[in-house]
Amino acid sequence: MTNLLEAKHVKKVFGETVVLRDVSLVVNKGEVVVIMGPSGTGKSTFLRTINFLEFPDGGEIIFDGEKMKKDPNVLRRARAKISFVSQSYNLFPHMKALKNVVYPLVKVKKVGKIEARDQAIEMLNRVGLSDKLNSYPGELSGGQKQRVAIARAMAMRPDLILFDEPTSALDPEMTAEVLSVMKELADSGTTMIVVTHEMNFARYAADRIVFMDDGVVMEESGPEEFFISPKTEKALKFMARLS
Amino acid sequence: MRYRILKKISIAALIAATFGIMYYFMSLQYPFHWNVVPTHYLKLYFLGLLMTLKISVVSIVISFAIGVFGGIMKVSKSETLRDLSGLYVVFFRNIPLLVVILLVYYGVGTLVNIPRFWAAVLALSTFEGAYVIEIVRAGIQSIPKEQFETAEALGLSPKERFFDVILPQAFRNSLPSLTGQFISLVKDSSLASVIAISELTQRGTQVATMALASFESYITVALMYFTLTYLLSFLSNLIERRLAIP
Repeated sequence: MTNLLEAKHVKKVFGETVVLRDVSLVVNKGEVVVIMGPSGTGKSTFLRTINFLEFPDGGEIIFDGEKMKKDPNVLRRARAKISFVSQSYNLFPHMKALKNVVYPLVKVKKVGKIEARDQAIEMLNRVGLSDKLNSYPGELSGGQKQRVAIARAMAMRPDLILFDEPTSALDPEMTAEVLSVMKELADSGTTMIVVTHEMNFARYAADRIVFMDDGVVMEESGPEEFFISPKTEKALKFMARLS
Repeated sequence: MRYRILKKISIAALIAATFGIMYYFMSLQYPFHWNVVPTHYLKLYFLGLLMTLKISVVSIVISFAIGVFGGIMKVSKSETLRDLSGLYVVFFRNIPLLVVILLVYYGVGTLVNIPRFWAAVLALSTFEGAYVIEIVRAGIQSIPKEQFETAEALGLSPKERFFDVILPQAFRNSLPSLTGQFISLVKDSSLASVIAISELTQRGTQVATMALASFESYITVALMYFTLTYLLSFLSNLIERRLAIP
């Protein structure tokens, strides 16, 4: 079985507004899927329905052969295998960088404390922060914080990492450092779904681009195809505005 | 820096001088007999202070427990729990503490036998607990919702999310308000004197009537309360600095 995630006809309504009309997506193991589209088209919301941070109002999410539902056990099991990196505020400010990575490993993955520490140090090394182990998030720059968040996500050895506009709160220099870590992650075969406006990342790291607009998937294609000859008028317009 | 210290010293001197002048004019009308306080009655004040401390410490612990428990209920998903906690707060915030003490001692006390000391503790801690509930609630709600979400997305259990992620941050944020509330509690404990508990205020009255030195006695009592609560805020400052995160 190669397909890791299957979203079928997902629908989400906030009050009167229909955010997701009908979104379906299949993600295979090892694939890097980038979701693009204008603001307010439900990209983030869709990402958040995948790990049930938002409960879908229709359709279903099947992760690793199991249908997601509001059962705490099911959710806990799935979330232990799905890491989530959001825009900001995702580190715990009262824990040092190292503790931020160690804590979920110990609590959720039930890794022994000493082993968790070793793994955490290794991951923080990989994102280039071996000298910041004992810094509190408040002492780190935005880019460093986001890299700690990615180290935490990686340390969980998840089957899938969701990125929700991970660089949108960062300046260009920090964006570059975060993207390079993500690129490396993508190359190492990690399954990722990334919501981003970073064209270059999409072009060089994605296996597939999903273009969303107005709560539906407008088109799905390889990066080459998408950037050179998009199928829809909307995608063309969107790219014209970005570049 | 030097200028700042100078400014503080001159303000202190000004206040001391004002009190000194007031004291002088009062002493023209009222003959102060300070010698009776330390020589004959110091032990009584000391006993009173000890009792005030005892009531306060026990009540602080219990009211904090009530506050955490009720505060959690107040932000829970269950509407019933929220209502119950809300009702508790409304009830105790709209009755004077003095009445609560009388209700517990002369009301509840006639149904079940409650020792004086525990009647005072029960009244004080349930009453102040209502305020602590609101402080804890505000502390929890001051945490950005992304923190709750991240904790959830990581796969942490509700218990872990709350006790490891939210509460430590909420506690830091509410420490200044908690200190204020506990200082109030120490001062409010003086009301326990109405059910004849020999705490500081009661002892002060005792000395005032025995030595025929009301003014002296109550000034002494006031200074003792001041020292006690000032120490409390000093302690809280220390904790705040210890817990501070960059």
